[in-house]
Amino acid sequence: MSHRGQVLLLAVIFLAFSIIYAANRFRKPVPVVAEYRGELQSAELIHAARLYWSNGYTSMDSILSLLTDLAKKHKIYMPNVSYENNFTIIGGLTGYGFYRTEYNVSVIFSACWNWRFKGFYFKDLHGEKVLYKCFLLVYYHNYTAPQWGSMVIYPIIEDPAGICDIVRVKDGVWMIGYPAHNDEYTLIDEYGLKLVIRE
Amino acid sequence: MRFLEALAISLVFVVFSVSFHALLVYRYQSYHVFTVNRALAWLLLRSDSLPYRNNFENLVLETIPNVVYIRNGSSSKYLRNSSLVYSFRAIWLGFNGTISPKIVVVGVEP
Repeated sequence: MSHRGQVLLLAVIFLAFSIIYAANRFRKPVPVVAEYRGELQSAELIHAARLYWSNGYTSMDSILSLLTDLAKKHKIYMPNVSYENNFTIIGGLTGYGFYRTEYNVSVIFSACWNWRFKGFYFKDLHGEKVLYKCFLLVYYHNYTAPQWGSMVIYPIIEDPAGICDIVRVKDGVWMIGYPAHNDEYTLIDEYGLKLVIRE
Repeated sequence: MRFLEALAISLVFVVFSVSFHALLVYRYQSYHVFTVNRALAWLLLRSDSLPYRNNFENLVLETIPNVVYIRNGSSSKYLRNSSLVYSFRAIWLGFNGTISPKIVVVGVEP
């Protein structure tokens, strides 16, 4: 190889690596992800659990199977999950209840409420005085996922029968009054979940 | 000898071209992937009934920047033209205990 040829070759190698180095250095840095799997997947699982507890007649397996099928059809990644459901209600003048779904991917949905008896009052209903019981009710949803930790929200509650007095005290705290002859009263939240106050 | 020089220079040129091309073409996903997925997750957590309501498009526009189009079930709305659009999908399964799935697709310009 001639002397001129060697110099030219070295010059080409030097130029090539200089350009690659410069291009790499001045490129805008961006996060490296192959496929995004994050908040949306956890939110879908929480949405499925919330729908299961508000639905009452469709099994969790059916809801998850529907979600998985739709995700596959529309090319949305969904992890294969197993879950554990738990519903508990402990009645009394002071009591509590909760719905809870825990997935094996550290995603947890829970809707919790507790109540405390505060006293009686009379309410005038169409000229007739009716004895009402008053309770202090605390109600919240807790959504846990690895992406955001724990998120607490305070859904609005309603009375489907329309005879209960509902007064919002502050976020998640309500004063509830319903006719005293009821030993149990059911309210629903804005997602359709039933809250039962049972004495 | 000149043949070997030409071969060596060609080899260096090919290596350079391939590396440079790879550097320019293969770009990783940018921040908008995170932003849009988080925004859709937030909308999904916020309400089960959002896509079934009339103000859904406004909420999407308030939450997600650079939206090009919104497809809510079978209805689509194009907001502007764009030569580069990434599509993001979310599934709403139903609301208030009723199962009635809706696929929401949001096209976003990065």
